[in-house]
Amino acid sequence: MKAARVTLVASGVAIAGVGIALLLGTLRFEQLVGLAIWLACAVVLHDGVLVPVVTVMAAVLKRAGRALPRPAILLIEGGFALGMLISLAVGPEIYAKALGPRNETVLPADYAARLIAVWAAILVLTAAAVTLVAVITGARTRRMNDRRSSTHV
Amino acid sequence: MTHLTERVGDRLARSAAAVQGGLASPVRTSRMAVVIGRMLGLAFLICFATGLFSHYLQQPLPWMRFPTQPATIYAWTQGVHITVGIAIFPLLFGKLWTVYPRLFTWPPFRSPRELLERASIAVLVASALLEPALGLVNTYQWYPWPFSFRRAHFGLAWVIVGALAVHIAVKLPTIIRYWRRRRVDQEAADRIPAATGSRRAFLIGIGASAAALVTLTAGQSFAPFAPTNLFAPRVKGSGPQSVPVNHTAKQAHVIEAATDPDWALTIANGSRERMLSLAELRAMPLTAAELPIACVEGWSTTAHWRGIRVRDLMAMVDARPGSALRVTSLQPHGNYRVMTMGDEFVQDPTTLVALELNGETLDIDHGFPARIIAPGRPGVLQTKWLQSIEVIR
Repeated sequence: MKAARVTLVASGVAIAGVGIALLLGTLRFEQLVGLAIWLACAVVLHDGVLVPVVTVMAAVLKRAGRALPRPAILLIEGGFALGMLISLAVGPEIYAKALGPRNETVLPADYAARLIAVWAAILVLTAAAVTLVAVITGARTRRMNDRRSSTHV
Repeated sequence: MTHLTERVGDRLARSAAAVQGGLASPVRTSRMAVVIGRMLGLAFLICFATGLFSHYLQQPLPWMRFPTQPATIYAWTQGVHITVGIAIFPLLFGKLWTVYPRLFTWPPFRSPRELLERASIAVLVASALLEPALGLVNTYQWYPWPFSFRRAHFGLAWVIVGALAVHIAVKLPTIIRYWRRRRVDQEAADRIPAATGSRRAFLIGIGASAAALVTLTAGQSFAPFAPTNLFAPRVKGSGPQSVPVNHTAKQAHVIEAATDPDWALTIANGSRERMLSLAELRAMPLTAAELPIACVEGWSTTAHWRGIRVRDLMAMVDARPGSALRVTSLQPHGNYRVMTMGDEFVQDPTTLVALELNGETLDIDHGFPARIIAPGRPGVLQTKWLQSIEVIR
């Protein structure tokens, strides 16, 4: 294992060194500063904004959905996460479209309308799945209660 | 003073421990980090390999030769590059979610080795977050950053793969320990009540998100996904003559030159030179080929082309087999005004000076009066609005 780790570290440092040499060799100083700022912003936006927001939302959802069965909460969380992820990918696309694409074959669709439609579909599918889960768990609980009461009689 | 710093340090350590405790969850285990991490690592390696292929096709080193067949090879590799790059987002967010509490480790490092280790993680995380985001926004043809996309994306790719190798080396014992399912992260599982989350649901969520993103975007590159292409910036088969356009004739400032009735294609081999008018080109034997236009941005559309084989054309000026060519466009500026073509592409019988596209005379936005179409090359090298073709070696 030691040999593998040494090889990995050595090759990793060499490969990353190529990358840093490429960046230093091909970008001007002010471009490098710009890149460093963008790198730092990526971390700050993820670690300082995205994750805390999602953490708080998950806690709120957990509290609000106390009455719901566990699988239903997981479905709602999953649907919400999926919608957020697609929105993150499509948001810049909507903005780029608003700036005016270079020709009519670039960004040809109304992505904002499509994003709304996808959110609606996620909402409907999640609601249907949650209802199904509630019905199944409700029936199971009733059955168990019935069985319990019949054994007691 | 020492007393004060100690007290502050203690308090910070206690706060950090409290934050980490509050963030504990059944999905935040070493096993989960390994399961998602190996998928993410594979995804980055696929993007790196396909990215290198694309980069060196455009800027080959002198000794490099490339496969010309199958003709769709670049449409596939670049389609994979963009599609896997998009699928990286849920994997990356999932991976970072599982290790997020480690951000609050206090003190941040206890030895120079730990400092280096955490610094390498910082480099890896920052680059891994930015790289796919730059790539995605680039496919929207929006460039809000103050640096060259191509140079930054290429350099960061090497940084990521290097930092990834260092990260794997550091975590190797953990990776080996948690590679298989039976070695569950028992310690963490015992500490937290199972009701607060579900590992299986988390993994299914990540998989479903990746599948959804691919389903909604891969249609620009892969025909089976075309019906569900809601969010890709390009649509297969759209545009004039059913092929999308990157650079229009108007943007390239070539309308006047390209529609000049006296236009002629110059072919040259040293001092041997010939000028061929459009009528002369049309009178030559035309070859038909099914070839894709495949862009670095991941979209591709296969079309039916007709034109003169480049190797036949160059034989008219006695070019030796094995010659490389310099192809120049009528466009007055632009990075791709001049293109170099290696001999493997020159010799391929489907490499054409195309005059027709999908049964019609080339549209001006597709390069009228004549353009290059070659198998297995990025769209930016399929030079439009030809002016001259010269032997360079």
